[in-house]
Amino acid sequence: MTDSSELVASADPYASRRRWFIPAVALGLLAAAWAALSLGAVAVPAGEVLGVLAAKVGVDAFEDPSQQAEAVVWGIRMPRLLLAFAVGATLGLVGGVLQGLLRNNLADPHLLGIGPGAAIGAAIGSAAGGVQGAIAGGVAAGVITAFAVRLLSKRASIDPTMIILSGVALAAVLSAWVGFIVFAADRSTVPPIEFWLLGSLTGSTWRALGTAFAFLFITSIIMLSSAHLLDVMGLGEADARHLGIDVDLVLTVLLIAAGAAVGATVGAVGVIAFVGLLVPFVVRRVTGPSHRSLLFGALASGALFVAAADLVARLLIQPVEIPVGLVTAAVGGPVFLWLLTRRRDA
Amino acid sequence: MPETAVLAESLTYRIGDAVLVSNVHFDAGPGALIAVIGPNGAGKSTLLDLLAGNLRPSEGRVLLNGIDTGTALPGDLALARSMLTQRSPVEIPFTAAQVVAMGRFPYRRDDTNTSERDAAAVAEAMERTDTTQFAARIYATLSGGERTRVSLARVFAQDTPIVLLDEPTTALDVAHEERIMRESVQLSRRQRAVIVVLHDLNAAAVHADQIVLMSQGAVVARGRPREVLQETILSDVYAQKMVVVDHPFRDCPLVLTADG
Amino acid sequence: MNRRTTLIALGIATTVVLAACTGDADTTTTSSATPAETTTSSPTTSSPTTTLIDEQTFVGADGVETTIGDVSRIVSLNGDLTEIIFELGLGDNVVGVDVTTTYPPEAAALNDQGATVGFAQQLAPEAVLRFEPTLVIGDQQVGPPEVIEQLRGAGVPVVILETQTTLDGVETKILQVAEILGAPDAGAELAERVMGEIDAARELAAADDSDPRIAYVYVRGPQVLLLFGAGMPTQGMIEGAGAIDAGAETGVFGPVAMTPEALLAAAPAVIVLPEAGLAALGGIETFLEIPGVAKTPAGQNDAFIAYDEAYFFNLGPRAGQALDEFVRDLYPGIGG
Repeated sequence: MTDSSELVASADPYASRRRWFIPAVALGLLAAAWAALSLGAVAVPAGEVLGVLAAKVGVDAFEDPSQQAEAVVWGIRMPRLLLAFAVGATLGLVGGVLQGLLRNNLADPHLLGIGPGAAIGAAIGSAAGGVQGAIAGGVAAGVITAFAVRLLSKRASIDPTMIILSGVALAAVLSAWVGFIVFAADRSTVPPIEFWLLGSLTGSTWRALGTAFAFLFITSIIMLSSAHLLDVMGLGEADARHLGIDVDLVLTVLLIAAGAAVGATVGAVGVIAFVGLLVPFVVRRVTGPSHRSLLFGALASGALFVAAADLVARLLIQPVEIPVGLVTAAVGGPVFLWLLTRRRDA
Repeated sequence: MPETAVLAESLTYRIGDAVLVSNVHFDAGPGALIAVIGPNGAGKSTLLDLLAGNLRPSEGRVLLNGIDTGTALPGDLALARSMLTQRSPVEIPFTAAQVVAMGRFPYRRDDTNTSERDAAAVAEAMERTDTTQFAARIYATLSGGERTRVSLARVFAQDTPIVLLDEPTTALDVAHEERIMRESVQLSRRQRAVIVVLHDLNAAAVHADQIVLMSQGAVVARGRPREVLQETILSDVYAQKMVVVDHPFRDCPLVLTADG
Repeated sequence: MNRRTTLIALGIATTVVLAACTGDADTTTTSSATPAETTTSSPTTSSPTTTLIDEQTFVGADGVETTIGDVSRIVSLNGDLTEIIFELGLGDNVVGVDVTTTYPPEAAALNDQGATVGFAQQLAPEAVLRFEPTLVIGDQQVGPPEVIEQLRGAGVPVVILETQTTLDGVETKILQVAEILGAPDAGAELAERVMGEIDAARELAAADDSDPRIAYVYVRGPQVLLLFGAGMPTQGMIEGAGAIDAGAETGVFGPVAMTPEALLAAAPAVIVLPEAGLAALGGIETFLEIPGVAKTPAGQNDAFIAYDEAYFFNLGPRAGQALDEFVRDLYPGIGG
């Protein structure tokens, strides 16, 4: 494509920023991973952590780790870390896609109500079939809610504030419904309301990760492929059509993907707010509006954000674990307020 | 390429009880610049949207290079026609050059296309619209007229046989208005069918090969400028006394409004 | 395009690997410490002193069969179970308790020192594992189920007992805990004594045939006001005292928000409250100011009784004692 032309390339003010961004995020991910695997209420020395990892890949460099170290590092911390990465990456990606689709930098899947909507399906699903049921239920409900958001946004098409407000209202209503279902359900099998609405990575098992990952992977591929489309859709629906984009089809497919992705994350770990709002916003300042870099950047940064937030959630007040959504809200809330008071975003 | 690039038959468009376009026949061949004029609400923009395939006609059909807009895929339409509307949003965060480059989007699947051709098309389009200096500027920071020219450059870059322009000169200053009209004529000389909705009757008089005069959804006159720009019909359609004289130094009519 | 195919290949590989992992990583590995010694607990002595017991299996209320062989480091997730363990003489083996535990004093001390797993309903796996427990015991209220799974996956025996909410269930609890700890005889002894106390208190209550309506209101500061109904341990205590559980009788299940309507329907003659929670609220004076309270028969007759929360609620070894005290408070002048 034309990106290789001199004219366009010389017009890209973000190229230099991108150059340090990638190594910075990569470094951050490694640091977060190491911290997640080696820190916790159970003290596991660094050598044993490495021993567990080495044993898994068949490298014989370290002493055989103890059974407890193996259980803690590989059975508890590793799936939790990977789930944090997967959920964070997906939420960051969905945020970027929704913001591009709705041409609104304040779009966030949970603010718009897709999160709580998915939670309804997930709560029902969990009553029926544990974590896997929750993920399946979340996916179904997430897709339905995504369409509801689309309908709402069609009616309020001109004013971005109206979209946000109607999404917030929808989110409030749906959150209440989650509450009804949770209170009516069997407390011993269905997680409590704080889990759904504030999120938690506490019970992250390999099974939850495996089930969620299938959905997250497929939807992420779909969303990442839409990067160029999202750029052109920034010209507005009319001109996007003139350039050959079937706008309704694109919206449908991407909303299904986004809804399913959010639904899978909610089923696995509940609603973790503000990731989809914050991460693309920050990444856009570094990578610019071009979605190819924005979406990949949001993916990586989202993973980092949630992993870091989970570290705080897990370690701040031991032995109690704070819901990770509280940590992301504590950071995201003030930034959101700040965003609202600004006129224009880059 | 078929002889008639744009063909519209028995075109009617209704919303509820209102008839916005009524039984219009329209054809345009390559190599001609056709101006569509008429008072506000005459249906000019609606006609253009129908020709572009943006609206589905209540009756009749539109063929663009033989493709029926009612059944065509968006991608095929994008290779047949390009359009400039008044509906572009302002807050586009991309640079002008990136926006113009998006005009090449329909060619991404075309194996015969190369990135050199894309680059050349973008550069040339910006040259013609005098927007090269804005290449690195963010679109949203440009003035209204500058944005129009950048959007026009995008349309030019799309390089389609049929070009539809809805009031391209409205926001432009006199110099740029003249330049854009001349570039549009050049476009038509390169065997494109260019259909332009204009509010300025004299611009139509100077540059158009053909003029279509619309009133209340119908075509009331069609022909060369001298044939269409007649005092009686203009005064009637615009409900305003018009006087038509010979242009002092161009070979075309000059339309003036008068008292009375 | 190249990037895309690489990504897809990577993703498929990852999904396959994960699918394989989820298949085997969550199987329970029951740990069994070497049962080198056989316990000989004499029939009359009450406290077994060994910590390694005959390896045995126990099928919990969740249907999971657990093998227990080492009871040297016990984490108890419920206050009533903790009391039973101490009463059986194995208090020294308890290394971790849940954050609501207040009795016996040694267990409360553990809590104060931070040797706690937090809230048993929302466990974090490492918070339990850091005690290096050889046995974790709790009832059906503990969770989340995924964490229990993770603990078992780490090789820790976790026994989930059925939650008991009746006075008769106290015997079951004691016997089950004793069995798990390898002290069945001590358990039988304790059960006999406690059930004897309970029955004596019941008999005492039978002397009075007034059948008062009693409601238990759970208070924890001004924001938490719950009326307890059917299926709660408090129903067991109230009915054991020969009274009517007003909440249960009006159709309330479990804990519900205490509304004026609920109070009106229950119309309790006596309201029982937790001591500490009531103090946090601001005492009876504040409680009376809550809408609906003053209009109840209890409110009009100032008929409020407050007990230590765990004491009244746990249905553990002190249940008989608590019931006796309750009966005497309800029917002053009864018995001797």
